[in-house]
Amino acid sequence: MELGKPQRIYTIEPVESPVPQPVTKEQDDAPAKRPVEVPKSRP
Amino acid sequence: VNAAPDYIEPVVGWRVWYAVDDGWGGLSLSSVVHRTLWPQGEPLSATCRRFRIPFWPFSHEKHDAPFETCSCGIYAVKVPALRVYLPEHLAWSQLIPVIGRVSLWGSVHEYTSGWRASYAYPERLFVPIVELGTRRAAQIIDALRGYRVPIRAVESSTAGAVLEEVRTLAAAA
Repeated sequence: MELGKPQRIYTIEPVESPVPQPVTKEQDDAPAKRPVEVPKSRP
Repeated sequence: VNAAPDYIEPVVGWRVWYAVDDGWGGLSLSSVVHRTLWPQGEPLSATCRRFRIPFWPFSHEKHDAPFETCSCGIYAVKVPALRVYLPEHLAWSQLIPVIGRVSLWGSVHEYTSGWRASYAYPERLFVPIVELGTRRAAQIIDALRGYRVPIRAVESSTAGAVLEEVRTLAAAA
């Protein structure tokens, strides 16, 4: 591949892996989280 | 002593692969220039091929890839530079090109039109399906699901139109 002119060199260590992890059975079976209900303020 | 990294987010560039038989009845992404198969579920790690050739008069000393004075490493480019790697009319191509965004990390050498890096993994894939037929297109997309990244079918038939469609889809993602 033609990349053009060199610019700079650096290092990257991702905090999160760029490789998607397989979904575990526990995650697959886990019930969807219910939305948090915000209590209505009383007058 | 390892120095602290300069960044903690991967660079994201673009590539073209071919979807090829992996020898096990499935499909893998293969680099266009070298027949390097990209593993599913683990990063591709760069190695320099030049020092592998015994007695090659111009061979380099063994080094990590990418290396400053070598052309080794995993390549990715910015969108305009992708054009030369696509056949003009995809319907005439015997190979199945796959376009995609790719995450790059490790040691990264940046250029005006792209990057060379020591590690890479696809981030998102686009499969031009023109002339493949619905069933074959579905088989290919299904076989590439092992990469566990989003995959979209692209219906345009010329290289320019495919890139435009891919760019629009990626921007909307």
